[in-house]
Amino acid sequence: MNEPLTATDGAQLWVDRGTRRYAPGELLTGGYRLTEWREEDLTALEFSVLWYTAGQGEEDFFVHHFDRRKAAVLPMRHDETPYRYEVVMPASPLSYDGRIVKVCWAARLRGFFRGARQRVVEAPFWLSLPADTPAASDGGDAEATTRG
Amino acid sequence: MRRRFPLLLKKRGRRRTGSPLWALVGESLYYAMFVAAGAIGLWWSLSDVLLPEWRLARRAQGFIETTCTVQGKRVAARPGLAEEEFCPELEVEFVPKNGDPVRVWTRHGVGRDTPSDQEAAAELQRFTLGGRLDCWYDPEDPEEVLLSVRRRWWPWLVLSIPISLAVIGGTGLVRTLVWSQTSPERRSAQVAAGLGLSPLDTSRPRPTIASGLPSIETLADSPGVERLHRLPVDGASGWRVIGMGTLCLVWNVLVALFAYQIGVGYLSVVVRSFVAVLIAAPLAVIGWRMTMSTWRETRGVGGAGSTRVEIDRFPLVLGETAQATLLQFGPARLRALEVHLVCDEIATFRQGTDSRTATAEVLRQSLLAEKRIEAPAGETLRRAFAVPTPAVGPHSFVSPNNEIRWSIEVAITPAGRPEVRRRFPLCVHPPAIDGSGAPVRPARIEAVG
Repeated sequence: MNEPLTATDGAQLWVDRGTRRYAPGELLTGGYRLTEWREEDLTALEFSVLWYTAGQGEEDFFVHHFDRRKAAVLPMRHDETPYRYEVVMPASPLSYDGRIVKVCWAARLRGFFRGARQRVVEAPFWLSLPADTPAASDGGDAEATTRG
Repeated sequence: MRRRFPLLLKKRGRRRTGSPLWALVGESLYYAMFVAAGAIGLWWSLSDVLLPEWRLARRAQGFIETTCTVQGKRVAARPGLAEEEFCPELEVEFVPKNGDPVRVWTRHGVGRDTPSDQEAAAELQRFTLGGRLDCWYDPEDPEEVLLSVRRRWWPWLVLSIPISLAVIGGTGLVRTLVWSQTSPERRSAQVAAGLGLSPLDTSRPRPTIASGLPSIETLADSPGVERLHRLPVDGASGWRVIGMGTLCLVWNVLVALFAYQIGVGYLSVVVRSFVAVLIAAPLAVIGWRMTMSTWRETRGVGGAGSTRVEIDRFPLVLGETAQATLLQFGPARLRALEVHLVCDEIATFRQGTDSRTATAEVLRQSLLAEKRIEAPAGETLRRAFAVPTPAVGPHSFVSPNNEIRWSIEVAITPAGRPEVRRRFPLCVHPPAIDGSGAPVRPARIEAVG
């Protein structure tokens, strides 16, 4: 198995399978470390697994798994042991890389900080049938965005 | 994700422009304007109309009824909410009990305040100088006179306008503020919880907003004759013909009215000829071309008899081959008959203030192709064909702004007539997966009846 890819923007988020290919019904596993986020007045944390559309149309999305925690209830982890997650993947929608419609899957970590700042790290992956060929974008770079 | 107030955050094709922060500020100001307008209107309605009327109605309970004589009429100007208003007033004279005659100007019961002085003057025309009217006066202050003690209902109706503005603005403002405080993922999770969608129910494809699969419920009501299910026809072309026909009718009626106005003769002969040649003639030509287009479209939709496609399973599953039958009723001689399996991507986006839809055909596979068909007159033309769905490919997908649509397209070319294309939407599911990752047979709609 390849090394898991990690999205970083002060925090680390990854899916365990390096190829980032999962089939419906499989267990998506991965983890995240907050690292620098802890020192930046983190107030809340949201972890979600979702699909979203990309391409020419307006973006639609739907959350398959969602978990919100307030920073006060997050256990202190001085040794930075990662938080683990496990999510059973649904039968649909499958990832799709079309001409004007694309269906993408991702694990997303959103941090809320004092001053109404938000930061997002995202680890995309590919949900497809076992026989399906991965798209050209499979295994692409993880994204990290910051929202003020 | 689309914002309700898209001026400051919009998607231009594949690009997204603007700032989420300014979009939030713009949306908040937009709804704040509604709240402010509603509050000002509410304050004016209450302070200037309803409360004075309510106080007057309470005081009028102790007023004494008598008769008065109309001595004068005038239109008085007073400041209104947005502009000067005019109110009709009468000068009346009456004799209170145990007192001297009183002559006073009153507006209560004369007419309503209006922004037009002519309208206010018109209200006074129903009163004649020297005429006698019932009136009610305050025994403690005879200068306070009413010509009617009936309470008006319309100020309460007017009140609905500022209340509506305040409610629309307040709701929008609260929604905007809530949205600014919650993440899109959290709102989506709340929707899923509200709909009772369980993430654990993952083994079988189920048409929900979460799975992105289109609904298949309507198919359960359409059993076929030759096969288990009858596919519904895509009605978009029928609606297009109705829209074109309506537009054509309205246009031509307007042109006819215009031509009638020219012909009646309000204008001189020279001007009439000039208007007829330069304006009416081009409009009539456009009307004629619209009529011809509508006629061609109508022949295209209904000119090849009726077509029916029946299929042995629904929904279809990626990688499986379904058996279908085409039933063609109508013309017995066809120049060509073609059936294709088609997959389209459909994306809806906003461009400026318009909502646009882009369509891209990503798969077209021939299922049946015949030329020069001579069916016995009066008999139904039947053709069986297979519908193989690709093992690797997109399944049907539908979300508010994006869609992957599978359909069977039937192209019929009757002898001596143009080609007619009809589409029958399909629903193609991904295979269900059991615990070991192997595909299992999906659930299907059973035949009805």
